[in-house]
Amino acid sequence: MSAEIAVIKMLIDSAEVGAICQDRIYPLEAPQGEQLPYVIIEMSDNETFDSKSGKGAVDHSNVSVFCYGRSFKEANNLAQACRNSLEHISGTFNSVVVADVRYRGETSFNEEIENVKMFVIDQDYLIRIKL
Amino acid sequence: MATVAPAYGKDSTLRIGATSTTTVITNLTSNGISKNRDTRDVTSKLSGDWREMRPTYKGGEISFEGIYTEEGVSVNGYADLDGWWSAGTEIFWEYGSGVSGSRKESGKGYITSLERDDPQDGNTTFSGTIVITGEITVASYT
Repeated sequence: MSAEIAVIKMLIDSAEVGAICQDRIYPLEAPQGEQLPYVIIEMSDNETFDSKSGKGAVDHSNVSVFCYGRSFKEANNLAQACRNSLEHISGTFNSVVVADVRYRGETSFNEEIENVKMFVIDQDYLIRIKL
Repeated sequence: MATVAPAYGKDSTLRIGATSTTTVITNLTSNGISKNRDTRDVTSKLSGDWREMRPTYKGGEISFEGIYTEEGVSVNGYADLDGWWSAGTEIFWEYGSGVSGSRKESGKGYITSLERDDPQDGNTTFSGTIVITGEITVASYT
């Protein structure tokens, strides 16, 4: 949950991302009928590293960033803007202390929802969070 | 019959020190103790088809792993371990959970290996081995 909040904040604060999709950045799903392009954030896994000394001091969260566009070019431009705004960024975002963001790769596919065809770039990031 | 009171690995720690006052190694994630015994061969023509052995010297090793840190109080962290390894210091060790009535093993040894690993996208970790010298004392925590 913390990683998603931080990633959403980083993307909303990004002028490069905002130039493409304004503030249409959503956790888990976009509102029905939402205007393209937009971004959906989803956390797929969160791992902590406790030890026999006690509670862990960092978490590693795997976060997916889905960039939706009306064309492949639009989705790709949005994906590049997201990558520029996230990769190896550190700081405090919505009270979440991010030590590092690592880009791990992406795939592309297309979808048709309610007769609307859209192109999607699915990016994977590893977010290292200080607790 | 149900499983009898399985011990929880998290509760068992390794304490070490340059004196008999030992301290838990910082950020341990795993520790283990392995004992061995040498043997001598006494097989003779009187042994039939089977080899016969007799036990001789006892010994053992203790292994440990942890998450490396340079922040805060580094009591018995990697820097201390490295210092004792480098100086060949005979260290005191104590192995167990510290719970009253539970098994405590203790003795002396030398840190004979110390490793540090820095992966691209994970925590820095450390691991090492203590070779036991002399007797292992078995008692119970009070």
